[in-house]
Amino acid sequence: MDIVLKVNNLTKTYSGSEGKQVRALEEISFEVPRGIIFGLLGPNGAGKTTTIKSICGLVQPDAGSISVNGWDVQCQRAKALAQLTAVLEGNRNIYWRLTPRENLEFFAAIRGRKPRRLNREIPELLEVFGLTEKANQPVRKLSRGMQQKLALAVTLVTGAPILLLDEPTLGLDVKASYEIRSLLRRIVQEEQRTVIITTHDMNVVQDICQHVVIINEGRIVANDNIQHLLDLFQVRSYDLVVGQLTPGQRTGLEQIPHLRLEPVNSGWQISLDMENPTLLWQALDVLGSEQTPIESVSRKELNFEKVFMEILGGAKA
Amino acid sequence: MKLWLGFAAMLKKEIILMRRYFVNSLGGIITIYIIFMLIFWGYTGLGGAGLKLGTTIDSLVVSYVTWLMLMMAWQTIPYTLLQETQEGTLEQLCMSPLGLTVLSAFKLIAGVLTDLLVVIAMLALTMATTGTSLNIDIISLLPLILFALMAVSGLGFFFGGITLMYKRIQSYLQIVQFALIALVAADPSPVFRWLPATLPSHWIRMVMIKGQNLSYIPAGDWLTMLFSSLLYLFVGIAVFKLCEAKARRQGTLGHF
Repeated sequence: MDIVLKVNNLTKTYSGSEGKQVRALEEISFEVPRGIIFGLLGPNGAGKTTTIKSICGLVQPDAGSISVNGWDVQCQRAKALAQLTAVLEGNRNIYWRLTPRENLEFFAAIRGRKPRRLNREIPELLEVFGLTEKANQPVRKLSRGMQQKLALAVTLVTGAPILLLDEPTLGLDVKASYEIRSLLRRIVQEEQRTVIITTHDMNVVQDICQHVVIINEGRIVANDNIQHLLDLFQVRSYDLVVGQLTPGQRTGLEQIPHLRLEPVNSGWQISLDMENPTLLWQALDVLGSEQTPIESVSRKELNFEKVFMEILGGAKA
Repeated sequence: MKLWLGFAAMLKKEIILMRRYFVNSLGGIITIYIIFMLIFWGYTGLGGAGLKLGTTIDSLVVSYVTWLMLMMAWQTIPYTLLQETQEGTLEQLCMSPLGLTVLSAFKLIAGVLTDLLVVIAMLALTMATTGTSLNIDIISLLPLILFALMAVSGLGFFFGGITLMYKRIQSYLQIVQFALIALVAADPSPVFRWLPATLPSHWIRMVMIKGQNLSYIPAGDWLTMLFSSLLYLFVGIAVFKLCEAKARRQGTLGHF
């Protein structure tokens, strides 16, 4: 596997108010292979932005190293930065007083792109992003969705093989969010670029990411293929809908760890996480004691949001 | 990476914005002109009939235009950084392989070139209004202007660095604008001649008012101008780089 980004033992502490030290990252390490959409996830204050900004050379870590396509971000800064580009503030990363075309020309030029090639590339990019008609209007007059698309187009025009996108769909309506996701898939599939995104929208993660790293309180709590994470949690969680329970049964079931009991129309729903297989037998024993009918058994349908919460919950425990 | 591409991009952006916001730029020129006229009327009112038009008013025109040129140059970097931070584009510039120092220098040069149009317009306007006749000896003025610009660019980098670290420093930046008046108008005494742009400003006055040329400037003054201008420029750049590195350590580079 061709690794384009290596983060090794990254550690960062900020000096807070009154000299208080705030540990933002604690020896985090991960690798990103070429040609995938990689999710960097975590709750607010987990350390995602510090990680992204360290990769972009905007924050200097206290310890650890980052290498981008073999170039060290701290020691070989210019060469490393030539390999990546980022949208860190959504639609604010572009000049609102310039037009989309002027923005593309400016950001390409400060990244060393020659004008001759851009004469062909910029109209193509404007076309792909649906901005051709607005190409000569000041960006401040465009909708937020169009501004976000332009910010994404700016990352592409730089020619960098790695794109870091902080909340690329934040504040967009359903249609614009869908379009951005389609564009990201296309960038990865057709151009073999690598996209690293941070987002709080787990639907976006489940939809487009192949691999995720979840950070919590400055530490990595999960680093895995997204499908694998979904499978892992899906097989261990079941919902049982049963008939009416006696007070004694309810007390018995509530004593079983990792079991949740909720009333439903016809009786009760038992949600059981199968961390320990014997728990299922315990639950069945309680139900069997009164020959309570089991209406249905289903594997719990997990979306990635639930997986994310489970992982964070586990990390805290 | 070709540096000229980065410089051309900065210059093009300056020209586009100046043209697009021409009415706004014009408003700025009118304001500067009104301020000059207020000073001029106040000056002539106070001086009355005793005022010698050939010296004092000439000196006022030259000093005002020199101050205007240097003020526009020195504030380019700190105010641009402040604006880029507020707009959210500073981080994009920091991620350019050219680096923030080089891009800031390009922005400064592009700004000076476009601001030069305003300075020339203002010189013509003030000369016409006051009826003064000045010696515009480009060959003699060019190196003197360059020395003065280098020194105030050093100040620009210095305060640009402070801006990167602390951001909300507009009120302090305004103080420097007024300090520049003193630097431009000060007599080049053995001590003051070492201040940024003071000696070049003195010789700009000598050329434009007294009709002197480069051959009138003593070797000691040449050396002082060269040494002090380079010193201010390099110290300014060094402070800028230190502040940029510190902002990276603190993680506050793009924060406002």
